Amino acid sequence: MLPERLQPFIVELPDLITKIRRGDKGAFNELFGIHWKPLVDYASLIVGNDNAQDVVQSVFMKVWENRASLKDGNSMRQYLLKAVYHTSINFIRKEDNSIHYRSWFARRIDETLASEYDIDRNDVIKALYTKELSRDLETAMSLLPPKCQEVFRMSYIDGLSGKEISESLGISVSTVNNQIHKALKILRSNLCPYKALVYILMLYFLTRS
Amino acid sequence: MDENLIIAYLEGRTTPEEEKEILKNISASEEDRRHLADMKAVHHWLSIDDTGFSSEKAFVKARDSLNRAISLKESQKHLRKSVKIFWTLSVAACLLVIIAVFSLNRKQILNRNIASFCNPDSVVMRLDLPDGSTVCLREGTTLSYNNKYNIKKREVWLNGEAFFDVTKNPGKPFIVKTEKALVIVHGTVFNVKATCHEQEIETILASGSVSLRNTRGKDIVELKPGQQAIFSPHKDYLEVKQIPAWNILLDRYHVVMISEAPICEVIDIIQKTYHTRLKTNDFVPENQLITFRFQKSAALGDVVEMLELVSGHEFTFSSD
Repeated sequence: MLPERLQPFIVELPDLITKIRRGDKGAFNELFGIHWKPLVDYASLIVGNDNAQDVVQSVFMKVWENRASLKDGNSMRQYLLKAVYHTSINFIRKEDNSIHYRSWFARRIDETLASEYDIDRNDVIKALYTKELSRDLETAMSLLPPKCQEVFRMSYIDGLSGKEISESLGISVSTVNNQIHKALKILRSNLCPYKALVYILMLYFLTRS
Repeated sequence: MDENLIIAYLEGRTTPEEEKEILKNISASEEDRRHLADMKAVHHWLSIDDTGFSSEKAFVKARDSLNRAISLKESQKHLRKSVKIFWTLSVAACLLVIIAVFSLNRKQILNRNIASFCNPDSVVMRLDLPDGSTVCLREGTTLSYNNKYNIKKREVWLNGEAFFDVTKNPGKPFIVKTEKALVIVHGTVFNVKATCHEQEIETILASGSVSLRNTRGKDIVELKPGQQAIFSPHKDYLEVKQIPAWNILLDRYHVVMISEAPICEVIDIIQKTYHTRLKTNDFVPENQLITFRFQKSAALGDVVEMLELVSGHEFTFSSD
């Protein structure tokens, strides 16, 4: 049984949008409260921690200013994520933006990757930011099959190296790499995204030498 | 692309030479680009902690800053200095009330995604809660709830005075938490007045059933419709009186909305408020539930017409 917190978290009443359209600030603040954190977390992926809040503030300001033309029916979360995406892309395109990079190449890598985070084209982003997933490791681990849990504890808690674990498990490093690809595929397909995330985390520790 | 290289990149351990290699790969291969992007997204998501840039504290700051910015923009449009001052003061009052409530209810701060509403002016503010319950806030009142609302129970925090119309859900008790006591509700219409610096809590029950419980979990009293309880935990004093509950609530809020109430109760309220008797030739089923909006200033004829429309029965009225 999956814990309750894995259900998509939509607290909005059908008439919340209607109220915001009419200028109800209480309803607008409610919307802000529901979506703020995931939007800031998503923005920080593209523009970094220091600029994420500014991006989200400007998105909500625009929502308020254009409240008369808000459409209901579709998920507000996806609409907002899309708005954050566009604002973030514009932000990094500005030559004088304040994001710090390790090197010129690191900067170019980030810029190249940014367009991959369009929510309409990326199901991993969808899984991460439209569902209420817990980062609590204990809960996560309890979802794994027993053997996997064992491996995870060995790696994360006992600090055994990937090599040591893969030797004791009898699997090769390339098998591990394939498993990561598989886990990402599961995450993209939205089938039990939580399990896929945990799996990736586990493999992530496994590949450390 | 080598998985170890990816992880080294995500952890910030790559040399510029290695980064050049990565850039070459992701520019040439869409699959490599997508793979690195997804790995980065997951790595980033896992590394977010709750005390940083998207913490509870940051949220409160951001929300208040946005409301200020909106107010400022709107007042600039009007170009009147007196309007500008009014907005700044009410936002400041709002901030003060919210800060007061947060500093008193520390437990609240640990929950994520708090929805908090403050009514700074004298017009009653009406809210709908996620489960369909309605709350009306009087002047200077703050009401909050968090993202656990409507999961196992329905908890709200109150500082001030509010009128509640709670949808019936025996499986999920509705609890009003104030600084000094709790009101536990069983599906019903009631009013709670509990302000932080005041010593007394007043609860008025119009319809249904509520229990009052102190902060240590001890039951104080269970109310019946038409009863008012005044409780002072400081003096350990409790007074329960029979009162015309609907009249008092109508006086304070000017309009009252009752959802899914038994029709005979509504007829009773109308009869008592207007000192009249309603008669009908129709058969009115006892368990018929109606949703009704009641305005103090309305003429009796209008109210009866509304009742007929909503219930589907014809009524005549005469004075007592």
